[in-house]
Amino acid sequence: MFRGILPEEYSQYIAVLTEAQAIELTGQEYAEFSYFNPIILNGEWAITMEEIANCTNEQFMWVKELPLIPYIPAE
Amino acid sequence: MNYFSIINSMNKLDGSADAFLSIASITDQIIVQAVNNLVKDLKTTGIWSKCIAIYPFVGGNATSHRYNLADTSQYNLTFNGGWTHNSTGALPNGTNGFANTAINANARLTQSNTHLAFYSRTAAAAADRVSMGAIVGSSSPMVGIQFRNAAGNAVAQNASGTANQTAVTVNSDSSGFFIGNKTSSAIVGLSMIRNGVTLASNVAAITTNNFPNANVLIGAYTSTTFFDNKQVAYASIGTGFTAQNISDYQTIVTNFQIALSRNV
Repeated sequence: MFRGILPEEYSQYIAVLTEAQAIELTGQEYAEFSYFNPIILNGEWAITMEEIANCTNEQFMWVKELPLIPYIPAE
Repeated sequence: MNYFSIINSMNKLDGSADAFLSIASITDQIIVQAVNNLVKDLKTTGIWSKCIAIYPFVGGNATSHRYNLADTSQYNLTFNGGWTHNSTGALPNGTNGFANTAINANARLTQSNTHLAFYSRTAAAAADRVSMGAIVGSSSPMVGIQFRNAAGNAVAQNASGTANQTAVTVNSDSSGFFIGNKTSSAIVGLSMIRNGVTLASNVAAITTNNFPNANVLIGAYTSTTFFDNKQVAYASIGTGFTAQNISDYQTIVTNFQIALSRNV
């Protein structure tokens, strides 16, 4: 669980980034052999709950403080 | 002889299995024996030599999941975006998650002689997602497999970008062991196989045999498109299979999943 959200609920939330933050995170490791992949969702740069919750890279721990917004995944 | 080799020497581990288990730091004896039997069976049946990469997804974390059993020195996965790793495999989030094999399709795959294999543990709703594939842009050549796209079809494709060259059929269950298998450019040279059964083959000769100048991805078509939501518990990439290979591969991978108590 991360910030009160269960892993099975992760797909229902995303964290919105500024373009500068997206550029900063792109291609950077959030955990061993795992890399951020900021993409545009609903017209905004964003990363996903899995990247935030599993981030262990001290350089990017600020992502854990990003505001979360609801997201409806495409089917 | 390394630590793991000494520990496992009593069990007479295959050298390839030993190398993989060592670098992946796997000591669980159920997994050790399952991987050892997998390697021995793949070698005995001649499937091993047809694989550039084999990803068994054992060990339950990104580090152990990344290694290429066929050759741990190359084509190890890097995970991008959101993934969930556990003992039953690796699950991309369907939003931005994919794994890069570092296998450039144009440089490494053999024209008219290719396979992409994926053991899916997820029966997902129909949607335009790609479980394995490579493409540069909408007009580039493409290679890929889908198990239940938005139209409800299973698809294996090796298309030019301008000609839609596919094996396609309706499929209602995206779980199981899928293989996109290409052995020629002729009719029925490209097939989509699920659980050892050919679902569909191409009905017209494939006249354009290109591959994209892009890496084969697991869980997407590109780093920004067609993200998949199916848990992968085994995948391989290599040359095309004979009918006997397909039958043997189905048995071997099924036994591997049963040994790990994660078969679907």
